[in-house]
Amino acid sequence: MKPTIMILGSAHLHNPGVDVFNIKMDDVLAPKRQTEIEQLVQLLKTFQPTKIAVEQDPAQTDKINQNYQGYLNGTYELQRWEGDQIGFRLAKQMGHRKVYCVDHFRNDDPMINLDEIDRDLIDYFKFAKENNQEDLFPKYEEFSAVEGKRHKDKSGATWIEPDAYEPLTDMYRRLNQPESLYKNHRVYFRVAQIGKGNQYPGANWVGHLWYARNLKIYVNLTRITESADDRTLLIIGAGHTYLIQQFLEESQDYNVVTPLDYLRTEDVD
Amino acid sequence: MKPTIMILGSGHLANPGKDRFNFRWDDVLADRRQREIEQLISQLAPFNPNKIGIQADQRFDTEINANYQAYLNDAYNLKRWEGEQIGFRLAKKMKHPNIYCVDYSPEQDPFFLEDFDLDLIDVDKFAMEYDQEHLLPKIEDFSFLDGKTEEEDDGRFWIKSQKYEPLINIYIRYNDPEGRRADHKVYLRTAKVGLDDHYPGANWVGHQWYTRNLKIYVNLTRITESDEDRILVIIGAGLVYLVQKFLEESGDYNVESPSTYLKTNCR
Repeated sequence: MKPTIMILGSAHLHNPGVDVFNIKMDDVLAPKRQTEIEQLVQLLKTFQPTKIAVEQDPAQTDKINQNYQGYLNGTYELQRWEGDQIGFRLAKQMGHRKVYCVDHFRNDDPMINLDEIDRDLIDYFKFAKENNQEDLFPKYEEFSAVEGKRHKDKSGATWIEPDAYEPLTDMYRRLNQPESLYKNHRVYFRVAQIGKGNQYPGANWVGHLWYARNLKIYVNLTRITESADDRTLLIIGAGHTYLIQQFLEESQDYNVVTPLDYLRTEDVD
Repeated sequence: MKPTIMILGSGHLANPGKDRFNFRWDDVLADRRQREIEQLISQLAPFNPNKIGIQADQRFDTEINANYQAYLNDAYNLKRWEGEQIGFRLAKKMKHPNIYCVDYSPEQDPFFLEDFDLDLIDVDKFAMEYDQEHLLPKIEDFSFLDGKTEEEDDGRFWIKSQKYEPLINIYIRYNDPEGRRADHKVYLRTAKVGLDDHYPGANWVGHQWYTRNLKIYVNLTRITESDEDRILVIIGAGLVYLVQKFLEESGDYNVESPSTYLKTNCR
């Protein structure tokens, strides 16, 4: 018997705008969304997770768990972020004493110190603009089917205001389709190509930042695994799912299950 | 239509001893081995490659192609390494004007300059200190390596065949897709070496191994010029799994396996 892990690929419900393309989420604190989140949590509960992991660096463990304790004691109000909305809620219902932080996200990583390195080494965006390689950029159509009005903000991030209201469980089912996860992943192989001669800004970004980060998330998951009875639910940006799942499967040490098995709306009354 | 790539997982015929586990080749310039290499070439030729990529850094491109030109003019004796023994030979047979260098060695990575703290990726040292030796690569993790093992003082291992094995059989074993897939798990285990803020395993696997393989993939995309390209790549068997996976996941290539071309000869 092997420990089981399920990865729920998520949108960022609090609109941090950290991705190249960001689909604008309406206010998840609104009553209708809150009802939908409760329904989603009921569906995920049937997975019977023994541990819930969220997209925060282990360095944030104390802070996140203070919030979680506050929530258990009725003194903390859940923020819009999916770790709070889905993670805390489900952890409380399952009677968990803590939640786990498994992301790897720090500017002072000794391997790639983002405060010190020459940013040109990873700035594939700038390199592509200067070297006529914009055709290698990610295209929105490649990895999302959501229609909507688009605009760019000052940081260069694109925001999409969806034309249609999508119930949350539908959204999670869409995000976690294997084809959708693969489309997300495939984009990195084109971005990796940005560069020429002995310059590899695309591959540096994809290898040193994206792959290395996801590999450390995998390692963090192995570090919180304590027994073959563990059933860990990881809630993380859907872009991460493909790689982390691949690492877990390739390790041959885990039983990896898809949330699609639990996201059937017909089970909801 | 998409360009086609086939990766031949190879041994290092010149015994450079650069890996943790090294298969010791007898002299591949000996007549019998030379005939076997000719046999390998004739089995690979039906793939009909129009380009051949070999495991050498691009900074050696000029030198290697000068050697290749000399070889075309019968003015160069092939060295023992697989880039020449297999690459040059097949390229000449296919009448290629040049050969491609597609490796990327971590030493040229601008992230790991001279002042780089090697402890950050020293998996062995960390594992020894923190009782994590069980996570380190073992000879059994590499199913293509078969034979008697000897350890050298510097920690390298040499594996020697117990009996003479035809070269084609060795290449069939090296290129078994199931074997390479199963063997890949060693990297996911080594990645776990570390504790708290320390990730020497993941640093090595992520920043060195995966990133090097990714750059080899990128180098292959750079030498791809048309959908009709049929590229044969000759690299160490350990590199095959990831480079092939990247090519497949890119969705931009047909990837063929040499296992469909290699057959033991029943003469």
